[in-house]
Amino acid sequence: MKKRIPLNYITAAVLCVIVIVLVIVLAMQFGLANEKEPIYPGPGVTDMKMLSTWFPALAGTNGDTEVYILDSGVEGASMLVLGGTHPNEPSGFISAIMLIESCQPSSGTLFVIPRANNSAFTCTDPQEAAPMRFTIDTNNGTRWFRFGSRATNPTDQWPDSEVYVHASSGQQLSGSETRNLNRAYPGRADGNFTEKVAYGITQMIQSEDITITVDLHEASPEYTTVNAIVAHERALDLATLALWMVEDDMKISVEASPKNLHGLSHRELGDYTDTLALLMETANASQGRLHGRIDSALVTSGVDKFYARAYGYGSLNVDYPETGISISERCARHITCLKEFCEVYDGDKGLISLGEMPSYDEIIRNGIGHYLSDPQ
Amino acid sequence: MLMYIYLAITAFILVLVVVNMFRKKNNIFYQIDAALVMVTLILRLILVK
Repeated sequence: MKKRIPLNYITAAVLCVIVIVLVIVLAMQFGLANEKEPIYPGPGVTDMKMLSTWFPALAGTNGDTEVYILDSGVEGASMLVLGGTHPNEPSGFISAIMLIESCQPSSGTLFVIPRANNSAFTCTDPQEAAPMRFTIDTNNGTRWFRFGSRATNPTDQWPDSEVYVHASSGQQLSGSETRNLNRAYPGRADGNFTEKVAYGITQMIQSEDITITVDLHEASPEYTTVNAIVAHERALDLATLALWMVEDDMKISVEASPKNLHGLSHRELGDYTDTLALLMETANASQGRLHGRIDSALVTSGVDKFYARAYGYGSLNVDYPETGISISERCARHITCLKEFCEVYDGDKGLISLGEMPSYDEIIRNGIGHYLSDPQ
Repeated sequence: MLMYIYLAITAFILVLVVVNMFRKKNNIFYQIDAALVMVTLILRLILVK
């Protein structure tokens, strides 16, 4: 007598096939997260190296990242710009790309790392429903950019401990900070993934004797440190002089780096290297707790009726108009201050100048896309 | 090292889910439940998600 295949075997087999198809589709979708947006080096770029040049252990890992070098050919001071420490704070990343594509320093050397935490560009923050990409219109086309996470991708570093202990100070922070690059400085050669990336950047600063380091960030409009320059005590004079130069254009404050808050670039890079360590914050609605739907338009325009209403209630630390705070305005803040840090630096390492750069008003008027290369 | 322990646990649970899905008789909803769990477990196992 012929034995019949039980019905539950047939349904289970059919479901297994459906599962395999679903997994393939989802894995392909996931693969898109590893796709990098193109960056088109401009005429000022003289060399491009990987961070593993300074810390070979990073080679072949998701922590290795591009370092663009813009050497003016005129001896002078040097500046390192860190974009993408937190890839959900896009104005720092876009400002760094703008420098790579359109800056031509006239003295000194500019180093730019657009994706400081390269791994964090390959994921988004859980439960935020954030877009994987956003777009910016250039003069002749639209370019896409990754919107990433505040923290290293958990596929590169996992699990998080309950309590994150900062290695060199012993400071205890929430376990969620374990994968935060800006809590990992100065880093450790034998530390976790994020600490190794931080160590690579610290090694580079020491080896290249970088004069000024600026870490570009954004903060939610309700956060206390926003539209601000945070400076290590050795960089306070530089930050204050730059503030005097830009305060006609924008409202901005200078804050001293807290000595008891460890792991941050403006604290540890200043303590462990000779660089003048600075960090900048602009107001980004897509990062806050009050925004409505988060999409590419919110990331770039900053228009959000809930933030405008919160501003009306006096609940924010920045002026938040109904027209939003656009990514052009946020990048204009970063670029203008970077330019002034260079202009006012008067140390013993010579001069550094970013050359001809658009003014704050020009960037806002023309849009940041005007200063990015067209898609190729 | 912790990651490999985690992956081993995930693989073990996945095997149990598949075995139980085939054994369960006359309960299609249980099998659909199991299939949905399998999707997330397989994605975890191949470090997607």
